Amino acid sequence: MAMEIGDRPATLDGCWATWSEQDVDNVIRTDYDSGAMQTRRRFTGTNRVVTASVTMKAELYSDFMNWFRVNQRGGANATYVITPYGEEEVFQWTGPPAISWPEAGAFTATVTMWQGAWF
Amino acid sequence: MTMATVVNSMQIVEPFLWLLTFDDYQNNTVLRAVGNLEDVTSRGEVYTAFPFEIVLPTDDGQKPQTLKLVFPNVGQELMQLIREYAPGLNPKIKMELILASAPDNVEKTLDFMEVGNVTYNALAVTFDLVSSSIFARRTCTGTYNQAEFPGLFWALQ
Repeated sequence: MAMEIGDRPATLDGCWATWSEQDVDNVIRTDYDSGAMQTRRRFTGTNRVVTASVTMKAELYSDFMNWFRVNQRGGANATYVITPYGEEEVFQWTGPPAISWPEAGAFTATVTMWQGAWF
Repeated sequence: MTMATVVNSMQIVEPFLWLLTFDDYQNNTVLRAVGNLEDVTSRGEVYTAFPFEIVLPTDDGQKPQTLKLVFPNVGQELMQLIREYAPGLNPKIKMELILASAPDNVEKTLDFMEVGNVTYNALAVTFDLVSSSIFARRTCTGTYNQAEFPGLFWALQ
């Protein structure tokens, strides 16, 4: 499946301060009264869902938002981010970043994104 | 590992995958998809990972067997295929069931279906698949009743 990649602005390194992820469950499980469990794997490959956040200086706000609004076409395109294990990988954001300003000079962006097995 | 061995085990580690082949003979192309998270190569052909749902018919022995295939329509990949088709040239669809560990070994083939009807909206495309044999399809039905066919019931009056 072809996918367009939105470039990350040069001023942003793509790193995150927090990163929590979980694979999309790929197995159907049936519980019986006896406690036995029957399982069936549905697909090969794995889809990942990640929630990450980063705090940046206020002057990077417009670059960060342009990364999502313009380069990623509001989330229609995927982009490259840096994972905690140091690899640059393709992820697609599942929605607009949530922005909070803990103080005037810095903002915190929280992003939920996913990575398909075919990325 | 054969399908009979797999389905009788408590832990089925081998996914069953449906391969889908759209025979777009009007445009002389073939579209291949697999209901999986990653592409599958079977018998030298690459089947592209594409999510879809299969709605199986009720097997009550009373109705003709029809299938529904539901595809996401967000990318509108199938719109051109649907809109270009002339009446009477319905695309043929072949469905094949494989085990992920043996993609070249087809366990089950449904190759007698063709597209009978298509409905779509912004989110989903639904194909109603019917048998390509007209004798296996639902046809017009009627009942002989006393109001419409009084001559048949003259002895009862």
